[in-house]
Amino acid sequence: MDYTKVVPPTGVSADCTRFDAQCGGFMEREIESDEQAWMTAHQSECAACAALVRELEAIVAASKALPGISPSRDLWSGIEARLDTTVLPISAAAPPIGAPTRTVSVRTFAIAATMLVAVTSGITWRLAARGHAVTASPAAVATVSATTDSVNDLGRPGASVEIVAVSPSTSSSAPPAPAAPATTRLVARDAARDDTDADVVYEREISALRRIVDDRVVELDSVTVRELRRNLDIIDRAIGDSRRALARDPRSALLATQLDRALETKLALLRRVALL
Amino acid sequence: MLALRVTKPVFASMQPAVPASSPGVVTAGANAGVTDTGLTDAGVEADADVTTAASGDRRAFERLYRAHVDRVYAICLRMLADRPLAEEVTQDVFVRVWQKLPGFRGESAFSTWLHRVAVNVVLSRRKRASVHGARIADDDTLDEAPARAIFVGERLDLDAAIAGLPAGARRVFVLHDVEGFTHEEIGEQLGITSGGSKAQLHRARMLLRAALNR
Repeated sequence: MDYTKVVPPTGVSADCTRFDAQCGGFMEREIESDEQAWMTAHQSECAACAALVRELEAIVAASKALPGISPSRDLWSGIEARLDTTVLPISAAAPPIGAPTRTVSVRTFAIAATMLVAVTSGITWRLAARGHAVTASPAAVATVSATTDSVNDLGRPGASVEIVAVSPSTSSSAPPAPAAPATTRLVARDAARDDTDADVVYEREISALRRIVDDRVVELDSVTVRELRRNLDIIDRAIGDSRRALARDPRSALLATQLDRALETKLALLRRVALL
Repeated sequence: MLALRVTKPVFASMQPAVPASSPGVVTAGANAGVTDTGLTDAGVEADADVTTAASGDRRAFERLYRAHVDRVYAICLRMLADRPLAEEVTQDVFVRVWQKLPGFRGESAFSTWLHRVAVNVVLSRRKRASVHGARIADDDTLDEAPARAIFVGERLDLDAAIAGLPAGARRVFVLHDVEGFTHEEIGEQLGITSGGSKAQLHRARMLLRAALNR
């Protein structure tokens, strides 16, 4: 044990310096008995060293009696909202057979719309690329062909669509160029996975963003963090309220929309913070 | 003789006003009278709340929250020295407790278990932050600089002095002198040797003495 890291002030006697160096071990009763006896004897002779021990003992005693501290606000609402939004394991996402299911919700539409945009963009790009291919270099044609094969996989369970934009040569007289690196890559998940529950998608994304935000939050200004937390609490309360209401009336499109909006708002806020 | 002298009657006012607290003993700010033995009515009630909350009763869990939040927040605040962060981590603690409560077997007092969960959450937050090099992830070099006192404008009491300690010394001091962990436990939790923990503790006490005498 090295208790000598706390350097005693200058101008003290050699005995006091020795006492200081051993003080930590002395208080912990961890030094040899001879040394312990010497420390006790010195303490009885030296008022300053006796005061040192007395004050350190007072700090120890006071520390054990420190009271609890109340937070500046009631944290329960935020906690309760997070109890409501516990991330579900994927295996638990499939609804039980015979359980009431929601009618086609806005969320389903939103996911379908995203898929549609991805596929439409791919087809548009493909048509544009085909137009280019008439005059493109062989390298560019080969790249487009490979991409087309990928597009044909659409609809196969578990398949993904990769749309790769290349930089083909537009001049037929230009020498064959090496395949250009992709400048844009859009990966879209297969839309055919009917069993994907929108709640799980939301929760997964919120959970992932939450981890990023949790990591980022220590770098942010405390005022920003406080405001962020306040806003998240409000949104979490809204999510919790909507979920409870929806549990009572699972076919309500209005409630489903409200829940979607609250989840979207939370996602948007977390995304903004993650990008700060 | 030490250059530091008591110029104000700081230490006279620091005598314990309430019984010593430690993990397992709920004191001020929580259910007074609830002890490890659980002999009081409040203790029986608290035990019932633990059992009920473990089965998913949120009202019972809210009662547990209200009974223990001050102690949990105090741990978080004293270890982190940052009020907003401490509030956030306090919420994390209770969410974690809710998730783990069904696995609580009552082998120790609930408050002891709760304190350990709180410490683990605080320390895991620190580890996670250290991966990203955030300010909270102080290492030995940063440790030389004391943390900003958080009770600016208020009386410089022991809590303010603790907040002003360098982070490493502060964590060891809070875990040992306030929360009652042993040096071996602290060493394990902080990834330091028990000797290192003892050295940090003595350093913290000396710095506190200096701060309180200032």
